[in-house]
Amino acid sequence: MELISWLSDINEQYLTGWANKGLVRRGKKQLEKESISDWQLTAHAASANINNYHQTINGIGFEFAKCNCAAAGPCFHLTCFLLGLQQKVANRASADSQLVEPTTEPKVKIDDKAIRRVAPSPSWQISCAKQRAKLLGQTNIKKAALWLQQGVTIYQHVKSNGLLTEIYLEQVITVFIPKTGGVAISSCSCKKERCAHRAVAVLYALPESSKKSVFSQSLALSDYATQCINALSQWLQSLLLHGRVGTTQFSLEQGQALVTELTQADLPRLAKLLSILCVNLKQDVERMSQSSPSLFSDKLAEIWAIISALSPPSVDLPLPLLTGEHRKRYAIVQDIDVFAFGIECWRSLTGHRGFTLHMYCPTQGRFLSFSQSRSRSIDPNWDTIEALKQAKLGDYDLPSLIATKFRISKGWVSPDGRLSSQTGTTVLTPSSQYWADFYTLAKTKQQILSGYLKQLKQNPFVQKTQQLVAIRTIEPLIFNRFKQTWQGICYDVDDNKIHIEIATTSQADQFVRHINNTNMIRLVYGYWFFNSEQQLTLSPVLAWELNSLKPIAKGYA
Amino acid sequence: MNNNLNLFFETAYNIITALFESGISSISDDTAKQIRSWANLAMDLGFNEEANAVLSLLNELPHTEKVPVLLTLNTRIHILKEYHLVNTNLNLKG
Repeated sequence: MELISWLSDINEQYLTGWANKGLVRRGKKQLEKESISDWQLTAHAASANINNYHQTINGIGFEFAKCNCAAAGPCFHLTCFLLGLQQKVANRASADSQLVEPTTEPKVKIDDKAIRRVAPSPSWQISCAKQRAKLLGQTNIKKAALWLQQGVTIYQHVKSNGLLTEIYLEQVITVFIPKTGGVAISSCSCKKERCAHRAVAVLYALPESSKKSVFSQSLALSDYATQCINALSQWLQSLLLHGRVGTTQFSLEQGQALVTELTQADLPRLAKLLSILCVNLKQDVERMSQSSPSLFSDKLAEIWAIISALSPPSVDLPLPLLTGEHRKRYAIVQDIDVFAFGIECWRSLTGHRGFTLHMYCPTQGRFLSFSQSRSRSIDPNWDTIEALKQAKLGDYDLPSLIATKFRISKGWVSPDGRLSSQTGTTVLTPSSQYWADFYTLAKTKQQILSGYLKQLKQNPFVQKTQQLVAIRTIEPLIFNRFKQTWQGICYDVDDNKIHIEIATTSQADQFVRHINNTNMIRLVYGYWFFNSEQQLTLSPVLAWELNSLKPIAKGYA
Repeated sequence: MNNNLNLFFETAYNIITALFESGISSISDDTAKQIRSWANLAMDLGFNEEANAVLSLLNELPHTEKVPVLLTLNTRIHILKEYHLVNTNLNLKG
């Protein structure tokens, strides 16, 4: 009887998850030529002859479906067979008729009620942790819990025949768990027999009360991670007992070794902070001028906040937020509108240089960026402007996209708004018409501060924010030799004073010359932060003159 | 009030920086004096927890117990300062 229930649950998505779209399409086409009334179907088995090949099924699940054609896995005979059986079950149920019984098996009468039998509780709701681990695998559950905590986009639909889950990772993954048979015979578009995607579907369907305990069990720190955190605490203790002035080469090397260990213990956020701290200490040990006491105390504050949150009693924050992520996680996006408003070329103090295309996405209501960069020491011959000329997004040259609105029909975006250019990115024809609504995005200083406050509430260690500001006037920027920065003042449309700082590089100097040569700047896009004098400061990267569509850009004419 | 708050954060930064520089095992007389003065100011402004924390650094506690106190104080001051900066700037006009 279970076989009949399972066959009635089969649909195209479920079949596609097991086979593929092409086989399902061919199966459907073949089914039009078949006479399903000749096929054999009992409560426990079924058979048919399609295209001179023999198909059988004698259990619940795709693995019991066999065809004697040459194909090693799924074939169109089997997709045709299963779709035909599903149709046959549906026809029988509606006609309230009896099924044909084979001579070798006892006759079983199957009535309409039995065919439409529904499981008492959804097969995907597995409340027992041991059963979940057995069906899905503990590693898969851990990975799934991590994705869920990272806020991966998931859509789940309860259908009459099962649970359909769409997971937006690098690709859209579809999982179907049939009502009859449950996870054991579920299908996933990744084609693996066991995967973390199925675990996502199961965990996502759990009641909220159960999810919390699953997360705390699955995402608990490993023993090694706890050891590393203890080692870091001890290192900090020794550092602060003797102070920065007492830092030795040995203690510095210990810190650098800890960076590697923290990375290996899946604590990349702590590793990155400690690495910055060690660079700062190294500069101190080597008596270099860049050493900064304020950077030291800022990084120590963040490190200690994370250690305190990770040590019991823990605060109620998602673990991945505290531990950090090893690399950028790009998720697929489809059919988003984007307005590219400018390109910036830049050079960092760490020896990297590159370019960034700045965009705004009205669909998502946030700024996006697309960057390429190289380290001068690793790739000394790489030329930013040449690379920019050759760079493409989809089929379009990057410079041709400036001041245009276009649609990304398929692309990949990281949680912090970085766009990837991986193969498969599809950009539709850019519109030559300027997106006039862009100007409405411009904010005043007060609005930017309010937004910054909201960001601070989510993460008290947020360093900077990027925003577009409408300005009334800008005073010429003056070079500060001690700080090696260009500094100045501008006023927003409400007459609020805004400090400006731009670190000197050849690109920045040219940009400043452009700004100083005009008194028509009305719109500025850049990074906002609190400077060493604790003033809210803007570091511009793009500036627009009155009635100008193309911006004056840092490092790119 | 705002001037006192500015002084509160400025002095806190100076004290914490001095302690980070010299280490908790050798607090100078100047720093100790600054700590007592800052603790009074913190009490006046209602930052009792911070005042008690900083005064405990002058007690006869084992140095190893003082390190977490100093680190926690640094973190709290960092977060309070960020909010103070945003709020001060939000209320400033021109």
